[in-house]
Amino acid sequence: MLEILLPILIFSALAVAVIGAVRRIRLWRQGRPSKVAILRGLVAMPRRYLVDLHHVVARDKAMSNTHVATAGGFVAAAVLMILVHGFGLGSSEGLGGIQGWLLLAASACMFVGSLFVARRRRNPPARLSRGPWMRLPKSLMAFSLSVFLITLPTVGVLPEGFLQGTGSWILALVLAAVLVWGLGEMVFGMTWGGPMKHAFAGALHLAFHRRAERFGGGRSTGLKALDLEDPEARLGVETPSDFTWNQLLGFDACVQCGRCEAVCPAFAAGQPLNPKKLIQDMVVGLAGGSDAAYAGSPHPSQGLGGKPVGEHRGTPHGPIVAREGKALVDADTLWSCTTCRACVEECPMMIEHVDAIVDMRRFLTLEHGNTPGKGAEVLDNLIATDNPGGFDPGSRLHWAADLDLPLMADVKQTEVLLWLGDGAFDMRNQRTLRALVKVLRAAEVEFAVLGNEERDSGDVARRLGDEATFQSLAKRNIATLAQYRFQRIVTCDPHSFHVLGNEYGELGGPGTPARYEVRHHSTFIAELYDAGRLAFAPWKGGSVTYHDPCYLGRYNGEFDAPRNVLKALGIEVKEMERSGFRSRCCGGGGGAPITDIPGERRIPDMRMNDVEETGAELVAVGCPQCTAMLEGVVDATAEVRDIAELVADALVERPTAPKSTGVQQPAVEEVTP
Amino acid sequence: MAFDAIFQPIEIGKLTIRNRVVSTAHAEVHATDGGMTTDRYVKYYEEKAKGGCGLCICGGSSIVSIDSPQGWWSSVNLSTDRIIPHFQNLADAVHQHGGKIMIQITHMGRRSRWDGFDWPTLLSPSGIREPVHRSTCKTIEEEEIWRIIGDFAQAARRAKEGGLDGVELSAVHQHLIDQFWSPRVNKRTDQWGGSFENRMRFGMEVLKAVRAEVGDDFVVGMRICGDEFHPDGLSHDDMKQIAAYYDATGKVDFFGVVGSGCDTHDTLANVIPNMSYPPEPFLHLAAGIKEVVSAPVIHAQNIKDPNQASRILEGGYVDLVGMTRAHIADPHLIAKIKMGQVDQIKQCVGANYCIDRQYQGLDVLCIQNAATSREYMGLPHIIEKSEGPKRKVVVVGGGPGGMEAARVAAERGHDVTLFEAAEALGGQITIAAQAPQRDQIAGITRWYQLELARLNVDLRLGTRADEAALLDLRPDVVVLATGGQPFLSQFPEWGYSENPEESLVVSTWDVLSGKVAPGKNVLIFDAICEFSGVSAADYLADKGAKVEIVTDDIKPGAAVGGTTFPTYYRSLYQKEVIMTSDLMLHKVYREGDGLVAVLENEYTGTQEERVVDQVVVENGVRPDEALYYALKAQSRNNGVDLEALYAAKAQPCLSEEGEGFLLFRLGDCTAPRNTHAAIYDALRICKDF
Repeated sequence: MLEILLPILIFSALAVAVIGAVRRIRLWRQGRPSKVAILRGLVAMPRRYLVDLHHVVARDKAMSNTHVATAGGFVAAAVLMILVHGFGLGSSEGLGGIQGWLLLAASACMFVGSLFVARRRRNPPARLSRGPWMRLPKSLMAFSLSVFLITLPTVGVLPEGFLQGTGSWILALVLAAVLVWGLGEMVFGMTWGGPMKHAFAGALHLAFHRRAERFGGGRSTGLKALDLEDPEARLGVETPSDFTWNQLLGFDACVQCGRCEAVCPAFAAGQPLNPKKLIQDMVVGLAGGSDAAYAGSPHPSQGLGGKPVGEHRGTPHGPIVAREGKALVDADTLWSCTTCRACVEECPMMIEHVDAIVDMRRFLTLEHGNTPGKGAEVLDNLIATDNPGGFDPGSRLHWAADLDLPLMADVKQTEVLLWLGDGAFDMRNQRTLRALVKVLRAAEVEFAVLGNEERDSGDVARRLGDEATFQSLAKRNIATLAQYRFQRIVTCDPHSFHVLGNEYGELGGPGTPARYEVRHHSTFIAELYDAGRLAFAPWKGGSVTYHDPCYLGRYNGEFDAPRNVLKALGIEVKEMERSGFRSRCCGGGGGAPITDIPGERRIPDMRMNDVEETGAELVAVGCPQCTAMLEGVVDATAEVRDIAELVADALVERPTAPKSTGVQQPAVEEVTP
Repeated sequence: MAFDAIFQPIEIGKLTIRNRVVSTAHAEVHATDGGMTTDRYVKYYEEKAKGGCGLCICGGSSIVSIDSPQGWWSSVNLSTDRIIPHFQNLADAVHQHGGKIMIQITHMGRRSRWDGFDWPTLLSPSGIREPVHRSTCKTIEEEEIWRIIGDFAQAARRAKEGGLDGVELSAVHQHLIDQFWSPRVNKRTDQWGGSFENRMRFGMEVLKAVRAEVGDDFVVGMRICGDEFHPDGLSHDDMKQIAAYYDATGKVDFFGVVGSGCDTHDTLANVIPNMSYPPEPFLHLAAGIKEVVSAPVIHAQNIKDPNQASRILEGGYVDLVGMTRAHIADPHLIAKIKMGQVDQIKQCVGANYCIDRQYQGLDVLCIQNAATSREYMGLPHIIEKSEGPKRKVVVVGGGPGGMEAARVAAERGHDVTLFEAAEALGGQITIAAQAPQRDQIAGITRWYQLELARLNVDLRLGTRADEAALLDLRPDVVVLATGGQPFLSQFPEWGYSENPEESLVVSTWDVLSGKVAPGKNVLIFDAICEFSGVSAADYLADKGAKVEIVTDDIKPGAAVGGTTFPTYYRSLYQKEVIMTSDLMLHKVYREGDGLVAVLENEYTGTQEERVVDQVVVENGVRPDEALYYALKAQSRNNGVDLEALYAAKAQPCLSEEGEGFLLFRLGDCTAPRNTHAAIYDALRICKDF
């Protein structure tokens, strides 16, 4: 009886799944076209899944083992089930009976895995979505157990006739019902929007990922340019269908594990952003409907409870953000993001939250002119003065009036071009810059600055969605840089570092390789030290921790150089719990301090609490933005100093310093009371 | 950006100044050894450059000719090539910190004194005597005029060869150039006097000669007056005409403008406005000059805090602000702005201790910063944390000495407790601040309050420390700064009693602190002639009392400095306070409801009486020594080691092992001196804790 029933069940489930898959794919294809190497992606997919994705999942060892057992068991069991029970290749005459035993083993493995999934679901952490996800362990068990049981007679553990006869009829029907449940969840649900959708969409998302460079250990963090010349293209994303199709696919891959939510600084600060919810909102949008079925933690909102779920709705071609009232997402959700990439770094599905947020911001800024807070003012400043503060563009070098810095316009070529960044207008950062100049001179580095020829890198404009201003600034900077010869750019600003190093390349004209390399000052100082060009007095200060700037660490993978410099200074870094790639943002990126979306607490306050927990008296940083944010914390227990300042303070003459040729520059020093 | 206006670099001539803040020219007095700049001088200016000051103009009234009086203020001598290598040291010291340095050069003509050193014959266009220094002079001869013009040019050359960035020609304070300008001093009828062009001629020839000598790549500025404030002197309109006339030559790179002439005691007080003046009282005069000249204008005079400086610069009144006393109080003013430590700036309070010492021919010092101009001795503006053992330091007394001791010990990283019997810090400063127009002296206390809070000093206010409470804290070091009490018991005839009901006299402290109500008809006897007597007189008169202030000294307020007694006198005369000198308070007795004060003439012995309802006596302070003698025998050391103290070296006992505590006392509880003395002792004793 089951021999007849099983193939029918299996193949009808598969058939329904195929219909679901086609429908799902059509939903994704509502998105704009995107150039993707389809075949190459499909070929690369298993490796991306087994290596790259697993690498992220494996940060949680227990969950990773659970997933391997459950997912591995399921994939094997499903394939074998089709062979054994679908095509009836289960009898011993077929393939020698081994396939039946393998199916037993696979389903048993999956069952064990699902026990761990069930245990996890008993008291799930807040970040995990509930709803259908709560039944998933039972569905997994139903599938694995029923497959196991129906396979027992096949391999002869139970007599062939065991499930025949009247009593057995009932047993067989029960087993079939359980299997239907299992197949429903695992096969039908996979393409029709159940929790298992993540496996189907996830696999394809990995195959057609918009940043294929991320696989195989690569890093791809630069935002992609908007084609401003295309009269057809909408500027940014207004509706879900304005995303590219593979972005929509990416959203659909979300497994709602909430790792993004757990690391999101805005979420922790009670600002109205939950990256998981945002991705789910996009999923709602691509299929059309309301967010009522969402079963995770909501977007927080100022005050208590979070934004109510169920009030937002959207369609693939309707606006994501309403001009008035509610649509799919509220604008303040998009403006709460600091672009710290903690969510992206943490996402086991390698979803690109930041790209999506900036895409939607682009529309709000470029088409609606709706940049909140001080955003509009900052963008106006950038347009009028080439710097976000609206300072006289001729005053970029005022802080160095007594330093006699060589100008690129005079020297034309040099070893190091010192990129100042907009910190040149900020009194706090001017101390860092002066310290850096002192260090470069101590190491006898040949360097020059662009001075008033330098413009804002475009970082803030770009992240506030003003791609036009970004490109205008970037192109003019690129043109200026093209006039001069230098070996590398060094900057104390990780945002400039990132934009110059990772985002200008795309604008430099098609196919032109980057003409220069960019170094963060900590990297450059580490190199100078390793080359014996700097010598330090022993560290006499108290305990020190180090804060990884997002745009240096997560964006550019530079975690070691700053720590090596601190080590060279004789400092033993007391690491914060969240450091390295898991560093918590200072709150200063992505224009967040400019849009200034209210929350329940401030991100930098939380970060200084992290510092306080280490007991450190000083937190070393390597970013003007981090310095400003962390120093703005009231009643902080630790002093905030840039690595360049610590290095400048510790400088001593090198014992075997070679006699300087050229003119000795005066070491301009000011007291630091 | 806050303070943005301060941090705009500016071009003066071909020189870039990194910000808009200038330490303007003043006589340092400690400056020179035979007219040559010393290590002390160099370190004094180096500290300002290190602290971020944009431009220092040093050497107020530095001489270009050997017959310009030099000795009294130990001016820098630019009349000889010997000065050039000294300038090179000075220039290097300032330049290495990114600062710029110029020097004021002048011939003082009839100003200052002739009775010393080379006993010069002073010179003036018409031989008219200068009142403020009681000096006579001869009428200058044609040959001398041309010699001095040449001397100016040579002096400028020496400054340039020494690596300085420029010279400022002094045509202010009634020096020779503006003596020629001023019709009240210049009565000549030859080509050097009379018409406007003739009166301008000497200055113009000086300017031409200097510019011809140094060329275009060296700054030449002029310091001028904004209005002499004499009915027959140069008015503001005159000065605008003069400034425009020189500016039109294109040979002047900047103008420094000082409001007020200064050849009388009263006008002199305007030049360095003390705490009785409003902020920037003469800015309008500098702004008036700026209206008519193209060169940048510098203005000093009561610009003390960065907000004020920013406001002035933002308003465009002048191009650079002089913050000279502000830098004497805190040479790291600019650095502290840049560090976001504006609250930590030690702000000048306008006590004018600096300038009043200068007018007595004494080295310029700051009432509240003992490190200023003692940089060469190693006295620090920034106290480094100690690398030695952390000590428990107990300071008794919250006056200036005690506050400084607590601050310095806390900066060294020690655990500091300060006991103060009164409810607030300040000691005698609190009393002094009660007098009219003297409230700003409390700025000294305010800074210490902020610093002691920042440094987490354990303040026990309203708590009189006794031996037991003190030893309970198991101190390693005890610093006594308990001050003293008014010394009214010296002469029994005065009728002083500790019982206020019975006492016939009260102290200035009683009056100023409000402990006793002001009388209606008051006699003040002031044996000290410092601030307290005239302050009490001003205070009582302000409350409506009829006041006579009597002293056996030269005159009431005789020990108050030259820029401050005039402001007291303006107030006292206006309130009809009678000032009487040469009388000693012989005796006080009660008669009916009133009191009779018997006064005896110092020189004739004749006695006269005053019938009054209140007798206030200022007879200085008697040290409060009780706690010192209670602790002395138990302490490990034997008081302060004088050799170490005077050499500003660590007290030897600090490095000796032993049980028990070290004991130091300083300030008025040792012997009554002044605020600076207490702070200086506290700094030099505590800096090595």
